[in-house]
Amino acid sequence: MGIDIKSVNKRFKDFQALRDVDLAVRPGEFLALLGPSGSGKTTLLRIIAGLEFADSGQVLFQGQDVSDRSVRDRHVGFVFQHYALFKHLTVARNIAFGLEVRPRRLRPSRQDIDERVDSLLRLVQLGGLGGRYPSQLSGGQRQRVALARALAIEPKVLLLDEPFGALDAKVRKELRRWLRKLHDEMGITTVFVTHDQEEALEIADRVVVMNKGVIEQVGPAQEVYDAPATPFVYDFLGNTNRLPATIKGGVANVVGLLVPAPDVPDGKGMAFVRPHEFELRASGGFGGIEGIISHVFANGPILRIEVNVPSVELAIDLQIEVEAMRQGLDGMVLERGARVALVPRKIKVFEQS
Amino acid sequence: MDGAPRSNDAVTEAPLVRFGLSAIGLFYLALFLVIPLVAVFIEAFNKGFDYYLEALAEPDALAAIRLTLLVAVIAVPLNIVFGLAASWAIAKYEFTGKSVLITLIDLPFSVSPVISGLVYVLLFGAQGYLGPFLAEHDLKIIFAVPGIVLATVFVTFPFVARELIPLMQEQGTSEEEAALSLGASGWQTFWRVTLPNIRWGLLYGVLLCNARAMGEFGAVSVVSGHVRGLTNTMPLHVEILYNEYNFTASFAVASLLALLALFTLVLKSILEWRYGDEISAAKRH
Amino acid sequence: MRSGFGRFRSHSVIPGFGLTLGYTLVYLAVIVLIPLVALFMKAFEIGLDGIWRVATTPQVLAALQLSFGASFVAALINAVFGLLLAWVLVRYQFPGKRVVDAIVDLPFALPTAVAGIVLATLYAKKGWIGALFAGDTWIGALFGPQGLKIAYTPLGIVIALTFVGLPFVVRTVQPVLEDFEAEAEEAAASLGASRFATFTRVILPALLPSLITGFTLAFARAVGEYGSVIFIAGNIPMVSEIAPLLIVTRLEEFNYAGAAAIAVIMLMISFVLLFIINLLQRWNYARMQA
Repeated sequence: MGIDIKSVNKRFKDFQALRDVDLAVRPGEFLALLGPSGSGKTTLLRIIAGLEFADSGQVLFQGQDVSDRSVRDRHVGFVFQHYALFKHLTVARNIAFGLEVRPRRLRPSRQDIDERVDSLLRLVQLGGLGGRYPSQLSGGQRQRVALARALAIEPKVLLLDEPFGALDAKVRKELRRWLRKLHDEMGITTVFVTHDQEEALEIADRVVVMNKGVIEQVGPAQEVYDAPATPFVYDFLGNTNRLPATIKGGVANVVGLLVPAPDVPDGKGMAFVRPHEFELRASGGFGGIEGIISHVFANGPILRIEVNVPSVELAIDLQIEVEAMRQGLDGMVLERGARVALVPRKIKVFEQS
Repeated sequence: MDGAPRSNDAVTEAPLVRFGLSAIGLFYLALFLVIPLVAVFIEAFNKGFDYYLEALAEPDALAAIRLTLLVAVIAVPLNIVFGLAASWAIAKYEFTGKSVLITLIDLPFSVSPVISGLVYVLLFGAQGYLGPFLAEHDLKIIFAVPGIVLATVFVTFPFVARELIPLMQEQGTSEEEAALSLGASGWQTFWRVTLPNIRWGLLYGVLLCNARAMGEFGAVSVVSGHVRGLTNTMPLHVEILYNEYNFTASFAVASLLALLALFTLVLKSILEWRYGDEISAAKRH
Repeated sequence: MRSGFGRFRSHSVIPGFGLTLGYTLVYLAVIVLIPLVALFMKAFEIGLDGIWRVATTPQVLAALQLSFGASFVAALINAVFGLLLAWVLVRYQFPGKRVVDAIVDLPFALPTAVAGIVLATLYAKKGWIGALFAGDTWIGALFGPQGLKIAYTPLGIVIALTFVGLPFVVRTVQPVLEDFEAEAEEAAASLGASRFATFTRVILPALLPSLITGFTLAFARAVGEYGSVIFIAGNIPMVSEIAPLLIVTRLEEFNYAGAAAIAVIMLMISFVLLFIINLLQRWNYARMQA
């Protein structure tokens, strides 16, 4: 089921959580809302669910306007950040809850309910644990119960609010991959909120990068990483070097290096290069930024090198981080004090914001 | 509380000091609490067990017991409903004036019981603001059971609310939101999700509310009229008997109230020990 | 588009706001607000100068002095011994401590009339405790040939009010003491302080806010207390008559305005005193933060 969000605004007291947000969620896709805290991603999710109401704008499910519908009537499956399991009910009763509260004529028989609960328990790999209470389960198990509970009502869309935030790293990785597989099997439209870019990039079909109530970029994970549309996206996803630049006539002067920047207006700007997008060459020659190595860290097959670039424009030296595979660097002197040239394979210039 | 004794001499007093302080403390408690409590029962059985039973079986005493129970049976449920409504409103929503509301709820604790009764006499008494209106319609509130119920309600309504408000605030709204997202209605959410989560705090509040409702003296004394057999609750009957120098009978009725107090204390302690964190920190008066 | 209650509340998804808040407000209005308004209306029927006249009547002055004075003394006694009790309960171990801890709450649970008659009986001249202070015992002889009369005197009132307020200080100090860090005490000891010095200089200041809170609660409770006091008090006008009793007397004389006036005066004095104590608390708190 597709979801359309049109011009949604939301304000909390003196804080504007969402500004004129437009988004189209494709049926059956696995979408990540990614951003730092305060970006509005959780608010957006809750507005889709009906747990908050927008000040203005519309929410459409499959073309139908549900903006005024209560959360009860939207038929969404919501998984809360801290699970919100019913502490006094067993796992089985938790999962059965959504079915048991249905009005009599829509309620399945006791037997049907039990069967559904059992099959869901097996689906989330908690078979046989139906009689336990939430307090007797681990964090990862509770998360799966919360998921099973949401799936029990056969929702049209699955919404997850930082589902793995409270778990430790290993469990987090396992669970998110398992969630993705589950999604692929069931084909249900899924939107999840996270502040962990690794998570978003790994399992989502498309990523929505949000910042301060605004969508910075929407696109497939790879695209958002490789071709960031704004400085924020560049900075937020992966590591970046920010280099001051001056633009004149479509050409940017980045610490001495000239780089084409056709769409950037004249004036001050910022150039972005990821650490692994630099090529290390011997000092001297053209097309590189000259610098002196200040630190070298070996991290397995990867070398992390910090290079000091004396800059005339700035009073201080620039510190650039470079990542390179050790293999390709035979023949180079890589130690503290050595001179190198940094040649960017990929560089993007933005105007000063 | 009953942890391992501190063996760290740097932060413990000399044994003599410890003993001395403990002794003083226990003596203080014995003097002010234990001796009076024991004295109630000793005085009650002063003239033997048969006399004790007769005193309780006396018609006016029985009427007083019945009235006390009746008042409690009406006032406590009313206050439960209020407590649930008020704590739901305060804990699940944001609105201006919340702190004023909470202050109002705490009001009866800062007002003398006599004043609590006085205000109703001023409203409903024969010379009160609504006196003529009531007389016209042949309704008696002051010097009748309704007045006693009203005064009792005034004095006891904070108990349930004060227990539930911090508890429900602590529990937040996410379980209720989850229930709603699964399709439950407001009532279903309340019955199936909220109520089970607050049951021990609720029981605790009801316990305190009931103890106060049955034991209230000052407020009820003002509105009651002291008509023997009709508008006397147990505490008032204790007073009447005492003023008639009928000491043993007075203590006999008082012993029932003391038993109620002990029962309340025991249940209260059990609830605190076993369900301490579910009753929340607010229980520390 | 949604129209909610506008600025009044943020639109919440959980149903029942109108129902619960409405019921709460109606209940409060009927049970609390309207009767209180009636109280003030009645009192002001005789005007502000009328109230002042009532307040300065010798009998009323004596009763107010007694009520507030005795309450103050009782609260002070409870502050000292409540602190001691809290200390013993938190820091020391002894058999039956749990029972002792539970019994501290007895004044909360025991009906005031029961406390009243038993205290009056105990401290009467022939009572168990009163007899100990009679002229012929060695304790009583300390106070002269007649001994020390407790029941039917202001002293008896203080004792009853001490009973009533006993749990307050204990229960406000206990949690603070329980959470107190041993490290502060260890630091003081390492710097050479005796236990007593550590107590007065390190622990007591930290306990002061809760101590004051407990004192305030005990004081407020004692001022309005009726049932526990009325039997042991003596009730002699100008000597051992407490203010609540005076209100009841006025009511029985059908002097509603007079009764209301005294009630309003009591409420006002209590309000001012509590306000001052609250300010003291805030000043103390701010001082400790700085």
